[in-house]
Amino acid sequence: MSRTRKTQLFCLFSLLLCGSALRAERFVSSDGNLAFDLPSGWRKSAARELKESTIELTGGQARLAAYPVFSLTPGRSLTAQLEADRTLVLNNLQRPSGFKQLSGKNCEYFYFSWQGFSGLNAMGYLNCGGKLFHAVISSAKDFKELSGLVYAARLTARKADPDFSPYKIVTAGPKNSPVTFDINTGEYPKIEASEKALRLTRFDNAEMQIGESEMPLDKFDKHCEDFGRMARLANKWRFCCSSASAKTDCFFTDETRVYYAGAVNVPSERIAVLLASAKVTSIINKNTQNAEPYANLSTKLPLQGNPEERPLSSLPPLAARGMGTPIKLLLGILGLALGTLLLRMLLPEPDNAPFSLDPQSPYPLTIVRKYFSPDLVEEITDSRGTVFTSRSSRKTELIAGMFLLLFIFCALAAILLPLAGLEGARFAGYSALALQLAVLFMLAAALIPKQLFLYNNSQLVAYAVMAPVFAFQKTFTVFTSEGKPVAVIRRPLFRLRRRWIIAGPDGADRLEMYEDLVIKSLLRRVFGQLWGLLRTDYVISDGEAPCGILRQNWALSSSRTLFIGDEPEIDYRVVLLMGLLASRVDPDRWYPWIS
Amino acid sequence: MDKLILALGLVFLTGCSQISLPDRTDAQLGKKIDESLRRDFKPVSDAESVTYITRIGERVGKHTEQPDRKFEFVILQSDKINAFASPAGTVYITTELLYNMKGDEIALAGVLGHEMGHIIKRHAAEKLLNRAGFRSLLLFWGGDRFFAGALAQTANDLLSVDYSREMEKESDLCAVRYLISMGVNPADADRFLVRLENMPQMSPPSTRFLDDHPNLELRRANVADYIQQIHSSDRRQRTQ
Repeated sequence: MSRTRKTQLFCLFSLLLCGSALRAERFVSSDGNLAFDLPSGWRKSAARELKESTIELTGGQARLAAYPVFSLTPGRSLTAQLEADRTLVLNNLQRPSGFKQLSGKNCEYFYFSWQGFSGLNAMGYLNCGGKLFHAVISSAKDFKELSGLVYAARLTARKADPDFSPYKIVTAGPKNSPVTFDINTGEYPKIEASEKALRLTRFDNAEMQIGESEMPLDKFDKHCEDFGRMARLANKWRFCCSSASAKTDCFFTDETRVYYAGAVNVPSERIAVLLASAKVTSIINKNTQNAEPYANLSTKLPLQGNPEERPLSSLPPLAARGMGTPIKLLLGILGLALGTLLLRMLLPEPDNAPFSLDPQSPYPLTIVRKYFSPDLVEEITDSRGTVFTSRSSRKTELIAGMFLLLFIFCALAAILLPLAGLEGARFAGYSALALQLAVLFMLAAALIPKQLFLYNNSQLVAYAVMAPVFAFQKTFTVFTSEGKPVAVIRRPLFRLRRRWIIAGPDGADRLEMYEDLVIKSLLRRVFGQLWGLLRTDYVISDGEAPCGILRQNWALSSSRTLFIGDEPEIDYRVVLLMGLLASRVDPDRWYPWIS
Repeated sequence: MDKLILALGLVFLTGCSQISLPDRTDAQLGKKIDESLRRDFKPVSDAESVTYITRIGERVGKHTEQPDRKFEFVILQSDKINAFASPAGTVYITTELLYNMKGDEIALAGVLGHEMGHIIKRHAAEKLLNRAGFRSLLLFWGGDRFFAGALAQTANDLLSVDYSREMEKESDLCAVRYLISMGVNPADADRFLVRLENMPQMSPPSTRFLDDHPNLELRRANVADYIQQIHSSDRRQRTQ
């Protein structure tokens, strides 16, 4: 063998040796889906047969394990899954890094890493051509070895790709009429479904959001004309898209609602594909499930004209419906009112005097209300036949009441007229004005001091004027016709029983008058006068013992009698004024208006 | 005296509750309720569903006391189990209720018949006047302290179609009569109540169809009584 020949053979052998040394070993998963061009020193780690795309490799101390991910847990995005994995590592008292990304020739690796006792560890997901593999690298010497492994990963061609399970996303909508989109999770690995919208992200550079649009259905066509592009999909959905830079805005409709799709780095062709899979299922639930005990019976209506049909008249008539509760209540109250009025008319007025009266005394004094006057007018007759008249102005209250009535009329007109097909809007304005005026006059009535005048044959005898102060008692000063103050009548407020007190000009209490029954007094505050049923008599006392009474008579009109037995050393006209003021402040009403 | 006149006026108004409002009131009242419902809920235009419910509703309509009356049937998008009747003649049913009927046409016809009973018996107008009467009672009783509230409530009544238990009972029996008149076996006539009883998720208390109705057990008992009357009546007729 010549020297030249030996040299050639040496070179060839060396090349062969070098070639075998340099040629990377390729490990392919049993299903041929994932392959690694193994770096020097790396080999298949386990003797056992690994199924599908599972790969387990070792290289010295380092390990790599990759498992296919067929579907992410529904409702969890890849980011969320990584976060969950990271939490597991954290729980093992390790200190993982933040999320990182490595891009190899064929695959991308989304991972986090941490430094262990025996080297660098990483956990994450390999995305190879839209297929996901959960990949864990442990005890790598350094980042170079770690990245080398990612670089070595590749997706191999397969006869039948085991695609990821379709990820069904349902947008908000009525039950059984959802819009469903079948999304390939491999294509859009990051999916966040929410109630209102679905969000698809191809990692960090593509995003699509679909939600119900605020746009009314009838504006859809006009809007799409502005976009200049409209397409009708095979499933009868229509959509139009407009692209501005990397952002694509689409509106689409199923003829019942309009949806909006905002997409970043998702080509409009892809949106069309996505929308093509959208469909609305029926609102009618065809999945009949009979409720017991009808499980074996038909749920279909009998055919029209079937022999079992019968006229309504052949069925027993419906019983007449009773009155509604409000009507019953109202009738009850009206019955009570009528009963009470009859009682007031028919019961005889008691004429017996509860106290022995001095024949020379002006008592008893009979007080009878005179109606049909704008003022509060009462006629008083004493035992000697002297007739007095009391008068107290209430014009302000009447005007307030008039505006209140007007307000009710206008408000009811504004509500009820439209029901009869008539214009009622202007009455709403009138009612507002009437209410304002009513409130104004009610305030005025409350602020203007009350006055009560006592006349005898049109000659002023005495009068009482309420002090214009707000205090815990109402105070009236009684003046003679010449304007000389002779007494003060006051009514303390917030008492269980209404109480009136007469004090002399020196301020000393002379006489008091109080309601005879606490229970009636309390009930009246809740139920009103109940047509006089809850009226109370007043007991008059000189401070030591009862000496008189102001009795409410049973009569249709308001009528009272004032008796005083042992006549006190106080002018009877002052006592009379106290009785009149009691009527003025707390008048007898035969309708249940709460005072 | 002023307040007396006011009270008498309101009592007169309340007394009107026993008097029928003119028919055009139903149309105006219905218009207001329609507007309110369509504002709160979105109608479904899915042709298959609308055709389905209209077909069943019109079948029921032919067997009511007013077979020539035109009814409209609208499906509202809502996840609440509910149905409404507008006095103008529109029956509303929610998608959730329709879905939960699970294709049971007899039960669905019962629900529609119940609502049509409200329309034919003019419960809305009567309820409105009853309410107005009750409010006037409050005014009568309590005076100006209840004044503004009572009037505001009267205005709200226009948009409310909740009925008294007596009215609900009457509508239930109307539905049963319509179903039997259509040829449905009387034993199946309370199917719509059974369906409601078995629905997986009942409406929250704010909804009207179930909330204002007497409990379903009582309603079924009322219906059972009426069906018993039908059987007795049929027996009598056979023996004659």
